[in-house]
Amino acid sequence: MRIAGIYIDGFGIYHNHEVPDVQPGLIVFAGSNESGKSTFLEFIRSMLFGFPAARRGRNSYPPLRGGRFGGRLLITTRDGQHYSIERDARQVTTTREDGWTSPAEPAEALLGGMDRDTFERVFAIGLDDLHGLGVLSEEGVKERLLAASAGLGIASVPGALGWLEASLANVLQPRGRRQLLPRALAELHRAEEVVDGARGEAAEYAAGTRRLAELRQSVAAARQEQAGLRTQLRRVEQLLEAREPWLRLTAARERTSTYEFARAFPPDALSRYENLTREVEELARGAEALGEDTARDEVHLQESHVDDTVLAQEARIDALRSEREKLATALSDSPAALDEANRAEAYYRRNLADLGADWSAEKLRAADTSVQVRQRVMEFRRQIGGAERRAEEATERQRTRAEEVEEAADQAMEAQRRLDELPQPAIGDLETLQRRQDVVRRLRSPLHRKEVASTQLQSRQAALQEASRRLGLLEQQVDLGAQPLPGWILLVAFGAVLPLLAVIVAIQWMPAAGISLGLLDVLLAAGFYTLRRRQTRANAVRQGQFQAQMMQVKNTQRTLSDETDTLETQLRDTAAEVVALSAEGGIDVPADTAQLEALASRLDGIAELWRERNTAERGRRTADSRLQAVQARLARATQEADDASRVLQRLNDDWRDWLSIRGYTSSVGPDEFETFLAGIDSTRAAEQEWLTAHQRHERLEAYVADTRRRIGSLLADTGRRPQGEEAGTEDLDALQRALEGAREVLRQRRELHERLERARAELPRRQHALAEKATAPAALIAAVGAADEEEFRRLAAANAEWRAAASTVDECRRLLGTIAGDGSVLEALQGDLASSQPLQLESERDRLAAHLQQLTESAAEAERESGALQERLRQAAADDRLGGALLDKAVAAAQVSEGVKRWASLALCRHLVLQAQEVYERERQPKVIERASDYLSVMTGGRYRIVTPVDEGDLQISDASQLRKGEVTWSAGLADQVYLAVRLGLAREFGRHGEPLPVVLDDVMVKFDPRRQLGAAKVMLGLAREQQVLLLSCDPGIGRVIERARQELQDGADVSYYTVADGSIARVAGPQEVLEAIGASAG
Amino acid sequence: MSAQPPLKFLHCANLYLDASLEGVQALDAEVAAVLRRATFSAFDRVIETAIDESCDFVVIAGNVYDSAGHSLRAQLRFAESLQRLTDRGIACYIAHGPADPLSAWEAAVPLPEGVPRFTADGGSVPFTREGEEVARLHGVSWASASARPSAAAQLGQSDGGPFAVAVAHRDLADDCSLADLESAGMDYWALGGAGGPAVLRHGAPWIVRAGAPQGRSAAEAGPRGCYVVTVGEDGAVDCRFVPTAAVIWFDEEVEVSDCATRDEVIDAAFTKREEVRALAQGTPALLNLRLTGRTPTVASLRRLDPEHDLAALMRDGEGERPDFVWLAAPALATGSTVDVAQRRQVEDLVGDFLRSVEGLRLADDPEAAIRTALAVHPEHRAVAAFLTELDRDDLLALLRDAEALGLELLLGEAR
Repeated sequence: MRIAGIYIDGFGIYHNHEVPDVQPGLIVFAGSNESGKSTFLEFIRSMLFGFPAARRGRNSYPPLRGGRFGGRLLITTRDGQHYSIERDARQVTTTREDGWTSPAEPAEALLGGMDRDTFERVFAIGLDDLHGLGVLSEEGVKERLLAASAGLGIASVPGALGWLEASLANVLQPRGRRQLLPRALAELHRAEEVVDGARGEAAEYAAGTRRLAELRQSVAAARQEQAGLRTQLRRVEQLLEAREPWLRLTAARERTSTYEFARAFPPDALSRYENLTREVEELARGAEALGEDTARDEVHLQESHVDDTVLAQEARIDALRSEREKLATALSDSPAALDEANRAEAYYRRNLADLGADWSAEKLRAADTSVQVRQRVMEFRRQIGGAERRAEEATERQRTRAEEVEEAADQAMEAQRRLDELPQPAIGDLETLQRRQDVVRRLRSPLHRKEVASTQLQSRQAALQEASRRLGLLEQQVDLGAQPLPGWILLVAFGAVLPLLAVIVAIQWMPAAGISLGLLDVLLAAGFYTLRRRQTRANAVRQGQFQAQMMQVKNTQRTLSDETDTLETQLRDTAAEVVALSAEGGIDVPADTAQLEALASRLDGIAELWRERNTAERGRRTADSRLQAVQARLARATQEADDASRVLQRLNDDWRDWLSIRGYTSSVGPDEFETFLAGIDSTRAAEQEWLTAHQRHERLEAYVADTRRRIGSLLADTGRRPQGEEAGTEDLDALQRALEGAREVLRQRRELHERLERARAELPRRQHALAEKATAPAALIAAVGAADEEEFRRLAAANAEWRAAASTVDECRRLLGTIAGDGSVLEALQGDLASSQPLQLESERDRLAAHLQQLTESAAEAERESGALQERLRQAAADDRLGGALLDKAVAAAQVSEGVKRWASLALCRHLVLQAQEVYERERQPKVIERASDYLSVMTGGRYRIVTPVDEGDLQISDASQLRKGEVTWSAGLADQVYLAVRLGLAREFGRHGEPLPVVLDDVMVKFDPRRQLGAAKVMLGLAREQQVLLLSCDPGIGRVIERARQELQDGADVSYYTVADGSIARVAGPQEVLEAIGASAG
Repeated sequence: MSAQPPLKFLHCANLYLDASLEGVQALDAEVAAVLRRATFSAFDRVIETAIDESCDFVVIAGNVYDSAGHSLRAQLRFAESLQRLTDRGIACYIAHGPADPLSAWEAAVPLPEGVPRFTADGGSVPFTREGEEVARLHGVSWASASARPSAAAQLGQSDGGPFAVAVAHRDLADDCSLADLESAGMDYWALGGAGGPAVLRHGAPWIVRAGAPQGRSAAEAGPRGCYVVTVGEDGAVDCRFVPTAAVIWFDEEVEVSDCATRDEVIDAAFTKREEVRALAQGTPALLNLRLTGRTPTVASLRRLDPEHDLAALMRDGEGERPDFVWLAAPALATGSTVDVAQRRQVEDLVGDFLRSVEGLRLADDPEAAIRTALAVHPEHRAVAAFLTELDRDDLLALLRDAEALGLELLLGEAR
């Protein structure tokens, strides 16, 4: 993958900036410090992996100069596909040239799953990122390193092992997410326990079945014994029960023998005698009461009288009585009817007056309210209404037009005012203005070049002065040198002074001290001699270095001098170009860009004034035109309003004429005329209602007078007088009451007559029956053979005794028969009764009952046990527990089997992957170390190679003599070279197995000496043949280093150069422009 | 044979009453209820067939129960079923097999009177109709699960009398040869034994293996039932299979090589399920499904948990259907599209991995090598007992799975 184009909408200091057509190979972005290189690097990272989170202490690169946060990156993948990655603060969209789009992170879709961290640590690195070998021990990088160099595509061994561990945990470990196997094992054990528990159910069933048979046998035996006991008990109870009736039977038989003499006496003779005596007494009392009733009725008949005069007028009274309610209603309604008639008349009079003072009953009846009249009125109303509407509309239009005229006049005045307020442009000729603006635009480029050349010239001159100063210093150093002590001083000191001093000391004070001083003198002389020789050699070396530096400075001076000449020529040419262009535009020659921009700004201001005046002029003309148009429309509207008013006046005149002709009030308008006609109809109706109410009142008065007359006549015929002044309903009610009283007396007299007739016929018949009945009791006494009533009654009592005893005998025989149950055994029962004793029988009964109870209870207990056992056996037979448990067990066993196989498969896989990793690491070191070693060798001119395997962590280098050096012994520059080599090795290995990502390096060579810079440039050029390398640098000479490396390498990648300055990236031709750009910005 | 009275009997074996159906990894309540009833339902159909066909007698050639799951419910149902037959005048003859040998037979529930059970010594009983011996039944039972009855000699030789039926639970391959049976002078061999229903020899003597009325695992896939044998007056034998399975097992594969996505694979599995439903013709079915073939989607399939992701989908709602097709045990037998042999030659980590696999496979004793490889894992103790149940073929299959999985993981397909 390579970056083919960049567009930054808003990111840090960048705004709306595009870097199109980025080429493959090595791309150099050169710019001074704070020119925006690091921001550019971060932009590329952000476009690929997302914006950095805004955190304290970290720059999140918000747009400082406007624009939307984000931008667009055009990339081309190894397979030639072109993509556009567009990202803003909210989303990212990846679009392929064929229109395919994806909202996914491009890292997933295009970068083979690369994560930001790995990219930053390996591919997009600044000087700070470069430090240390920690990158090699980071898990993500390690995984990808192993994967990339082991043919694993996007996978990794730790990733694969992690997946296997997680899967194994799911299968087996109790804390696994799904715990497949532990759960299945637990279920299997549970099911096995249930199966074991249910195993003995068959044996239990068999034992239960045997016990059930025993119980059933036991119950049957008990039932049989119970039956025998019940038979015995029933016989004893029979005897006990029969004893009392048997004793009563014996006694009753004795009584029948005693009263045998009265057996023939008729059983009902005594009751018949009593009945005959009672009937005779009742007949005598009935005859006496009938005589008394007859006498009382005759007295009542004589005392009652009937009103015959009323009865004679019975028909007339009933007839008037039927009109009683009607009369009462007429009497109460008559005043109300009179009021109603009066109110209706008043209403009618008011309506007539409302029609007009000249309206009378005759005029009301003559008024024409026909359909034709109404249609004509409607026609008038429609015409007058339409005319009124048209007149109002015309008036409204006239008013609106007048307002529009007023508004247009205001606008015309405002437009004129605005035009008058604008000043006259300083340049009265628009063509002159445009020519000067064009010249100003064309002046920008030469003036900019002139300024750049001037700045560079100053920079070179300053550098030249610095070089001269440094050369002077070096020459002074060379001249001064580091002269050792002069030889004669040593000779005097150690050859004369000290030996002489030693001799004096030895002679004068101590010989030993003198000898020691002599020896010290010899030693010091030897030491100082050696020191002086070394000083001399060091001075020679230092002089050589100074000479070399002087040569280098002189070379630089020459280079700078050449560059100064070139720049001065450029400066003269561009100045001449500026003068020529200024003359062409007729403007003063601008001294610098600021002056030019000020002139451009003034010209822009004049142009803006021209545009404003033109706009105001157009506005004024437009306002005038509009004022004229609306004035014409106002005149037309006024004419239309006058015409409509005249039409309306003519129609109103016609209407009034029409009303006058028909006798109607001329002040009524067509709209109100319908109401007027309704008033006429209403008045006519009121007149009709008045007449109707008046007639009803007259009819009521006539009826009341007639009825009063008829009641008065009837009262006179019955000899009565009216209770009031005139006969009324109260008199009618009194006649009615009198008639009803006469009718009641007449009905009572008829009933008394009938009862007297019946009593007179009944009395002889009752007297005859009494005489016949009085002889019957004596005849009955004689018939039974008794002498008198006393004997008759004694015989009757004896007969009753005999019949009671006979009845007892029959009852006891029946009872004993019932107890015996069978007539054939009755005699045997009586025999047993005669031979048994009650106390013995009761004792036997108690004994048998107790035994029977005992048997019943034991049988019931056996039956209960049998029932419970039967239920248990039934439940056992229906118990599906074992079947269910076996099925659960089978399911769990299947799950266990599957789980074990799954575990074994995963475990085997894990074992084999680990084995393969071990083999791989043992036998095939990652290529990345080999490649990094090559890179380091190139960088260091073949001096160093990397020798330590990556996974051991302790990276070492060895020189040509195989001497190994650990990281702690590396110089800062060498360490950076090793770190860079390792990262480039990683980048190359990643690229070899996956999509080759661009490598972005930000000022990674600042600590490299020129020779190592050249080596590093060769490495980058070599790498850039395989994958794009973006090199960001603040070194003005970076271009030259690259070009020199290209020349030496001969087959290096293509190189493109860009300069970066204050949020602007511009492509330049080559290293010279890079040098100038950075030099200018530094200056 | 001449003047043979017409005769009809039913031949069944391997009832395994109340035995559970094996190899089902998950159940829901409705399906579990059907499966628990399955062996009973199938035997009920056998009994109903005997009654509907008006058979003269029924022979049961062993394995009425599985002695390991010799439930009371099974004994009761068996006794009730035999009672139904005897109530209708249909005789019944039982030979015991290795799963219900005489030693393990529990007589908790007595069988109806007049139901002969053959002894381990062998013997014969006549079948009479109106006092006339119409057929003679020879039979032998297993004394214990390991005491296999010897060959045909124990049944004696038929002397050419009435139609001779031999009843025994035997496997031809292990037990006796076809020639042994042919030479015993029988007219019909009613065999039990392992395997599905099959007429092993047409014509005198007929040698028929009844299979089981109800398949108990995917190994017993396909139709299961009994045979109704009709013997004509002229001695002609008609042997007709009657399916009785309450639940039919299907052991199916789905080729997913053409499936481009995981969804297409799942769709193919669903299609297979519906095909099975159509084949079962309304009878509930248990489906043992293997996804086979080489497909680029194998990676996502490897990530797919067959039981959790596939089976759960395919079982959803099935339990509510009377014609359910229940996915018993899904399995993946898919392979990657990578040419393993060629990839093994590459000198990189993947190549090392494949060579490690090959090293195990080609070891002198691959079974031991694989067991050793598994034994190094600390969790091995938890599953060691179950690993012993895996044989050489199982272990080699596991190695194939591990190879496929590792290849997919290392090539970045499974993550």
